[in-house]
Amino acid sequence: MALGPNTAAPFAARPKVIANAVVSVIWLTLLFFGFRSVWKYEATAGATGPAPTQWPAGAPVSFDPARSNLVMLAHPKCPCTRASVAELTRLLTQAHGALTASVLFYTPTGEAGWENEGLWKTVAAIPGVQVAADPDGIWAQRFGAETSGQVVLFDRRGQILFRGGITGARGHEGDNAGENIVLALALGQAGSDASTPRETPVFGCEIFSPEAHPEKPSLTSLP
Amino acid sequence: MTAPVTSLLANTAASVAQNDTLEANAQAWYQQALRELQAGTDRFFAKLLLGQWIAAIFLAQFLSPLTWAGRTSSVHPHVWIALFLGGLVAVFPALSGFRYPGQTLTRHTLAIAQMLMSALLIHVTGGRIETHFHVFGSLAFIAFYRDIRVLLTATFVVAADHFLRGIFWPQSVFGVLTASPWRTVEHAFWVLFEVSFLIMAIKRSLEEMLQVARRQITLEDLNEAMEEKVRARTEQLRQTEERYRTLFEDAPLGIFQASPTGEILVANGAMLEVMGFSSHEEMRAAGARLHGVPASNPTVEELLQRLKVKGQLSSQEVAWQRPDGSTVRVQESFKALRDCAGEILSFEGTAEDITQRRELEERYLQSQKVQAIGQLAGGVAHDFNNILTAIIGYSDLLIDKGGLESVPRAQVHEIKRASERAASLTQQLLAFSRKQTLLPRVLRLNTVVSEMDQMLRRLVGEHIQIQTKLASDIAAVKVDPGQVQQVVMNLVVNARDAMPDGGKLTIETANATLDEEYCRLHPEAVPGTYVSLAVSDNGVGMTPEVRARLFEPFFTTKAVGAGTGLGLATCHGIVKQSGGTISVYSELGVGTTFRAYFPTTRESVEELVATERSASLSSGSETVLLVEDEPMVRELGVLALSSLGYRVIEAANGVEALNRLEKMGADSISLLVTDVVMPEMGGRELARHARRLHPGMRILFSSGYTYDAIERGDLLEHGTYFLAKPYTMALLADKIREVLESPSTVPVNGAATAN
Repeated sequence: MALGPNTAAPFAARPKVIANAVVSVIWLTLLFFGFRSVWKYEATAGATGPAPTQWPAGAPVSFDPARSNLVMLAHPKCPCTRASVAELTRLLTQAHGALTASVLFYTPTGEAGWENEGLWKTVAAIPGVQVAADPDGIWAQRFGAETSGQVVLFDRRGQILFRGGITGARGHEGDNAGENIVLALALGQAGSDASTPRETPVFGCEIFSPEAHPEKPSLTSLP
Repeated sequence: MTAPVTSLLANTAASVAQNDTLEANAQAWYQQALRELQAGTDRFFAKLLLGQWIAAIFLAQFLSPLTWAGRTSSVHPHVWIALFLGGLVAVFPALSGFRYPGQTLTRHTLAIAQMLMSALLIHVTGGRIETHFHVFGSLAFIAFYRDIRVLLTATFVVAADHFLRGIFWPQSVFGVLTASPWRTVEHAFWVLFEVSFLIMAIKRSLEEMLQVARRQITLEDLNEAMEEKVRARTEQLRQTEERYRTLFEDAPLGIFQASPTGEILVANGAMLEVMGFSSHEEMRAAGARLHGVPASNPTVEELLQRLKVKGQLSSQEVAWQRPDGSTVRVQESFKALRDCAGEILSFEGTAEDITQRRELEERYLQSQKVQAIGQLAGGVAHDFNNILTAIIGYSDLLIDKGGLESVPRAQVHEIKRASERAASLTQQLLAFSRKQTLLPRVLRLNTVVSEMDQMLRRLVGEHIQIQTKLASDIAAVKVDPGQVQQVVMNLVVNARDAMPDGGKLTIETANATLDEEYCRLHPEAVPGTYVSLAVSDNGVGMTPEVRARLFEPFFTTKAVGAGTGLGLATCHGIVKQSGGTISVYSELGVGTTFRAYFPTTRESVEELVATERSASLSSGSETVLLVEDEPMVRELGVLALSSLGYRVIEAANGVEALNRLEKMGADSISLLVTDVVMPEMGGRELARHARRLHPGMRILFSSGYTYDAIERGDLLEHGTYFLAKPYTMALLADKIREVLESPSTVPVNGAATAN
């Protein structure tokens, strides 16, 4: 490399330095608020409905009395639920067969192109996972889910053990409390520890259209 | 402190100073290189950020184009985030990178933006673990800056992301709901792990850059020193080449290089001059070759053959013909340059124009010849003239003495005439060899020529027309008028003989100035003002060969007995002895012009007084001391002077004469007549003693010797006279009378005459 003249423009003058600094501070401030909004959006949990205490009769997926049964209620076109499906896959791997998992996808009646598309195909490819359609979200309502990606865990007797999301934020993969609880309950490691949370926030799209389900049940504690 | 130690310390100090300078230069080079690298990295990140922004938009549009609520959908927030927040992240730093590359603030801004872009992409891709590698990649990219502070800024951004999220949404980071909070620490560890290695890499890289800078500066320093040496050597070479080129170009000797076929490739100025070319272009255009002409020269093939045998040829003399037709005599030397196989590559050699040298040598030989003859003539002149003096003298006595029959008297006249011709021949011999005694006088040549006019017309005859053109403002010259007459007469006779069928003869006088150029062409001449005396004819003219030998003694084109071959040689000798020069211009069949140049003088012109002799011999009664070592001449003198009435006391040499003077008393001697060259005491010394005894004594020198013998010293000073041998009785009588009747202190130059 030849030693050439200094090509770096020096700070021409103090006012310019100050202006750059001011612009930088403004830029950083805007960034702070911008990312704060993103974080806020991702950390805002969705709604949940009233949870059943027992495995609902007539569900479109079968109940396995030999294992814990996990049901995920999902909107098939919600991009955020992709993270929930990824966590479900990881969960099943770590459970080593202690779980029977099912996914019920919301399908609006009379509209084509909702089944076997996108997430549906992804979930259908997971070994051992039952997939079924949930026309107009009837079974989502019965399982007490209003936000895509919510899971409900039942023990071998059909008693509810847990409900909530298995992602730490909206559409964000990674370690999270819901996944850890489900895994512990499925493996029988949770015990009777009262401090063990039985419910976590759910992050994802709304399963129902606002006009189709005006009354959103608030999140309530399970018994 | 001893001198070596002082010198060592001085050298050490100089070395330290030089090292400091090199280190400072290396640091400057290093800083500059770092600035340029960082400026380049700024531009790289500016482009990268814009590319990532666009990629984020495409990713968001691809992965999460819509968000849903039942069967209704709207644009997913990730798309807006990618578009607007991505733009906020990328645009300002990118502009800074393009506009202010290399500045510290730009670097830090770009580093912050890059890390935030990682965060943005992680968000847009749903927090995929693979996307987290973007953080590590970004840190590695930021390490391109080789600025640890920038890397720390980027690390700070990662930390701040977790910190701020911990403040506002602790469950997403520290996890009140998280079963494994140490995972965050694990993330931080891997980030710090990479950063630690990157810092080490940056440090090493900077150290390497500094080493490179030091090597570069050392190399540049060496290179500069080398270039300086090269410049110095180049200058030395240039000066050397200049010296040799000047030596070659300005050499007085012709130097050349020729091809094996004899074509001259390179020649210096002297060589061009020898060959008769005015420029190299003219030489090349003429295709100059060695030994082209004349035919008498060896050919190139002959030269090659000789060189094969001898290897080189030295100082061979040949004649070259110039383009203008003139011939130049050249002394040349050759050397053949051969390749490894022995084949001749070219000739190198020298050539010297020796034409002038040869001419000078010939002139010198001619001069030597004349000198030898002159020495011979001078050597015999004394004895010969003494003999002739006796013959002529006794002839005069017999003729003057009454009682001889007519037949014997005529025979004595013939003896005298033959003796006079012999005397004349002797004078001519002395004249051409410039050894005769000149008695110069200040005069105008017009006077001499005018006085000779009638005599010359009788000499040439009526079939030749003489025309005289005498310049009216002719300058004065200091010459021996008798010798000038001799010159005119010889030239006129020569012209006459060149026009056997008659013609026109012109005698011309004029003022002339001989300049340097004329003298360069005529080496015998000396620059100055002259009076020219030209004798022209329209006769047969001369060939160059005759012209070359014209002034050579005894060279003649006339029939045997018609000429002695001494006429023009005599003219040449007289003119040269008079300080002048003589030239000739002749064309065969057209005519010839001789032009004699006599140097002018500022002295006043003397009147030429013709001396008239009385019919009878001058007589007297004074006492004359006659000193002569030659008995024959002495007896003749005693007899002749006694017969004229003088009282004669004789002496055989200077010593004897001095004894007589002292014995008789100097006052009793009226005239001392003495030979110049005598044994024991010569005439010169005798005269000096006589003057001491009698300061007013009149002295008459007489000698058969010539110029060399009598012109040395002050022989012809005031009160002395000279009479050349051989002389007649009449001349002797007139001279003695002249001396005796002259005042004792009269300068001799104004009155002395010879012959």
